[in-house]
Amino acid sequence: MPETIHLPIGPQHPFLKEPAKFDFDIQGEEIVGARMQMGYNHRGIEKVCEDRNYFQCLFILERICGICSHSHTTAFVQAVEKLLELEVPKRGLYLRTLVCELERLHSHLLWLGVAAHEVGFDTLFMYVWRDRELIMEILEEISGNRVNYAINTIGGVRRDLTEAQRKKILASIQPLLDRTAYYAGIGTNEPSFVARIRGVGRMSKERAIEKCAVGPFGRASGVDMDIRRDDPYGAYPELEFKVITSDECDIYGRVLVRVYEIVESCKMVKQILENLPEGDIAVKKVMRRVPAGAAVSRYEAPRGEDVHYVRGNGTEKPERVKVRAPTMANLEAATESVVGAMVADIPIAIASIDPCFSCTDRTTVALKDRKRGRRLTTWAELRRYGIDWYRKNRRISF
Amino acid sequence: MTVTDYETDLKVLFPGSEVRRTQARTFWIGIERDALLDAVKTLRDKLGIRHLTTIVGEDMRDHFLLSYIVSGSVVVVLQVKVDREKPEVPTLALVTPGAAVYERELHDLLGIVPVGHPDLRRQVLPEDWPAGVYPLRKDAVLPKPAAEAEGGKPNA
Repeated sequence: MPETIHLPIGPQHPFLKEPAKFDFDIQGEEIVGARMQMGYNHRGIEKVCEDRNYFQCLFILERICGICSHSHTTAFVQAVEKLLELEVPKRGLYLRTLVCELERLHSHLLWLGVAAHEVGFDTLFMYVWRDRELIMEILEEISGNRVNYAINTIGGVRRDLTEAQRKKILASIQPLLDRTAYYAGIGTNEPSFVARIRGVGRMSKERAIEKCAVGPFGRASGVDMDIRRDDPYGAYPELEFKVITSDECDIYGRVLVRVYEIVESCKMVKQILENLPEGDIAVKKVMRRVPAGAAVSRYEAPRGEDVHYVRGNGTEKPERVKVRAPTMANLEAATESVVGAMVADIPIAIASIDPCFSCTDRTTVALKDRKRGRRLTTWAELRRYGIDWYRKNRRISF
Repeated sequence: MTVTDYETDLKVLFPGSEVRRTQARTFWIGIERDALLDAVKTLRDKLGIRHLTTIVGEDMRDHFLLSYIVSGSVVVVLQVKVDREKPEVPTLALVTPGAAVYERELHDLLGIVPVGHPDLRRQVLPEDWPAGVYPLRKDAVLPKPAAEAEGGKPNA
């Protein structure tokens, strides 16, 4: 019987970009016990919301996460719309759902890249992130932003889509579908990649149900749950899509589920754009005072079920806003799934639930200094470059 | 089973409580604190509703209100009133292991004690947070950060 060694990792550590502390018990290379501790970055957003009006809350909640910002605002506005008994116009619902699916696409592509990177397959990481740019450009086209789209408002959405934009987006979905088919092939057939993820990070169906796991993590363990189908919202009742599940119960299963969800999302984006109804995008007049009462709103975020609970008290400010993000539901189960694996599997096993890190909005552009030949950019040059780029490519002048 | 069938069944299973349907698939049921465990088991065994979405804790000023959101084909919100003086509830963690994190969060933010919880460590608050300060209580006095950070400018 080898000696058990206690291995603490975190709160700052090499494999996650957000603070969480893990304590592993290891015997040789094998992990025999795992515990997790959060609480290094609690921002008190629920408390802050009690002092803001509903529209201000929207901006705060948008910033819960850099990747699923639209998920949180949609869940919130749905709850407030229920309290106000607002009927959102169809075009508004379709546009909201369009951003939902585009967000899922960019999030899943981001994850696939990260997963490939965590197992040392950086070529796939580069390829996937290059194609993720297609989605980022579309989102920027629709909302004006790459992250924190700020497109939701209580009663609808804030920006309409022009006919030219609609056609442009529709045209860029097909290349993405083609490339996704290629990634699906690599992610599920490439022998060295599959060997690295198959049988690693196991989570049985029974345990996933007991631990109340959600999203692709749960679906990869055979938990057939998807809020878009089970508790439909937005335009989902009118869309055709499949809920992807897998019985693999390991990281390989989680790759399968996400890759095929990318395909489904592409198809949904196509359906939405082809059947976009005419009409208003938002309710014209929204009461600032929300009547007393409570509402629950569930939403299928890229990482799983996201829930907002809002209680109004007849004033302009909410009495209580409760947010439960999907990572909260999955982290404990993910920590448990590491037991039995090797130390080297820790990064990919934890990353396999796609824990939510904030992503910054733009990459740094390193330009060449023409005079000295060095590759560097000053802030003023970068600003100039941005302005010129927008003037040339988007015909926007500042 | 349609949503209306669930409504009928819920009314039969919870005869002493009012079953309120507010949204298309959401039912609200107020129950006594001691009936909580049985209610969760009943939903699981009789209707197959077993996914604990989350537990919402609210400070209603004269009492605490806990909403256990349990979901399956429909969403059932079990609401339990908790006494302010003795904020204790039976733990769900032994029936639904997934409840453990949410109970730890409630313990941190509202000071509600899940009796019998297997592992009541801090969940969301930092290690150096003062004991006995529960930030989501309406009467909470929150510790202010130091007026002057080392090497920084004083707050206005």
